[in-house]
Amino acid sequence: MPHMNAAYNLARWLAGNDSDAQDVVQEAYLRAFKFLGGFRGGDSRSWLLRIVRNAFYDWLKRNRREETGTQFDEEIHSADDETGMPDTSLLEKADHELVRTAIGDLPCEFREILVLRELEGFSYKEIADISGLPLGTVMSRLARAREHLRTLVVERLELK
Amino acid sequence: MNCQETQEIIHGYLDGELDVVHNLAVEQHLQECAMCARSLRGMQSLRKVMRGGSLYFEAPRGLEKRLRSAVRQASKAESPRWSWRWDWRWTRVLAPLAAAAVVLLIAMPLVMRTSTEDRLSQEVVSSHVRSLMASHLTDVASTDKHTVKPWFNGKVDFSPPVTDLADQAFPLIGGRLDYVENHPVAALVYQHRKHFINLFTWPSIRVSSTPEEFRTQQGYNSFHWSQDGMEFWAVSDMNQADLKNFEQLLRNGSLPPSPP
Repeated sequence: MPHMNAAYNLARWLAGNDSDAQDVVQEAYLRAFKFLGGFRGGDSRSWLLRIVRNAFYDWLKRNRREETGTQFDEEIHSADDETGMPDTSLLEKADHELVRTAIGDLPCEFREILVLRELEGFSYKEIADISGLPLGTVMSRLARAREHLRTLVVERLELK
Repeated sequence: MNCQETQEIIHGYLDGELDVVHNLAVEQHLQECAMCARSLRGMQSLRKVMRGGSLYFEAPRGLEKRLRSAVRQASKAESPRWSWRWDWRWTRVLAPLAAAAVVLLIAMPLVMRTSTEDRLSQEVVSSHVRSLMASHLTDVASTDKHTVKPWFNGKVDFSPPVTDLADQAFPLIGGRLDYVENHPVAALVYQHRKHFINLFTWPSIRVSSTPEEFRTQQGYNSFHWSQDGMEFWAVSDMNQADLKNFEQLLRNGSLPPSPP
């Protein structure tokens, strides 16, 4: 199946567990095959991921009691010091397990944009196409996602 | 540019999404400002961790099978079908049908073969369409038959004959592993002008070879033949004359298949 890893990776990060992710991917592939006629050329990976994303949000509406991941409280996490920047020298010590958990604790719109940018390597334009967001929103959301992630990671490194 | 302005576009800088002017302005500021430079380094280390590969969830084993069967079932469900409840009046209708079934049983081998052919041609045309739409035309992209042929070693339990017809305007462009009737088959990809041709090959399992014929489905032409114990299905949006020509060239140029 084409792009199965990319589809699963996104669904897995969004849904938060394997079984839900597989359901979402299956739904997405069924839609993809049903609407193959709607594919107008271009990058088929972003086309498919757009379907995965929509399938996930539809699934979320049907199945979820609450949002995945903890709600991000901007008050609590406004750890930035007076210079406007957290102590980033610590970040060099961040290992992948810590970063993985921290991303998992972000709200799903932040997880999504980090996965598309950092794990799949899409450009801003491509992310805008996949998510249906305006380019400006992609930029600002990515910036906020990274800043939140940085704050979380620094907090946890300090606790260690 | 001051720190605040830099922080606003530093993500664009990190992602290589800035134009030259802004890129230079950020670089200049980074040289002058240790704080912003440190902030960038912090984000770079986070990104390094994220891109290291260990955060990527690979699709679990079994997912591919699950998806294939789901898609197959969905496509079956789409074919027209009516629902009915059992009604004794059906008996009157069914009795003659039962008699007809006996007659059919005698003709069964012929009927079975036809439906197998239908199913196969539908499958190869679907594979062809998928290979084009999903931009997954080739697993091994090469015009060299000595690269394409060995690539199939260990992937299928036979060695497909690979002929390059570049001189006859049908250059080989690569090969791909595909599935027909749940068995791995070799798909060789050729090009003729702007048309792509998928040539599906697998060993014959039938004793007698099936008839050679053209079929047209969803606007694609397919042609099927058997030679030297191998089955061949060529699928393309080329016209039938070109497809026939392609088949003739392959037959004449094709060497007997090597043993597995």
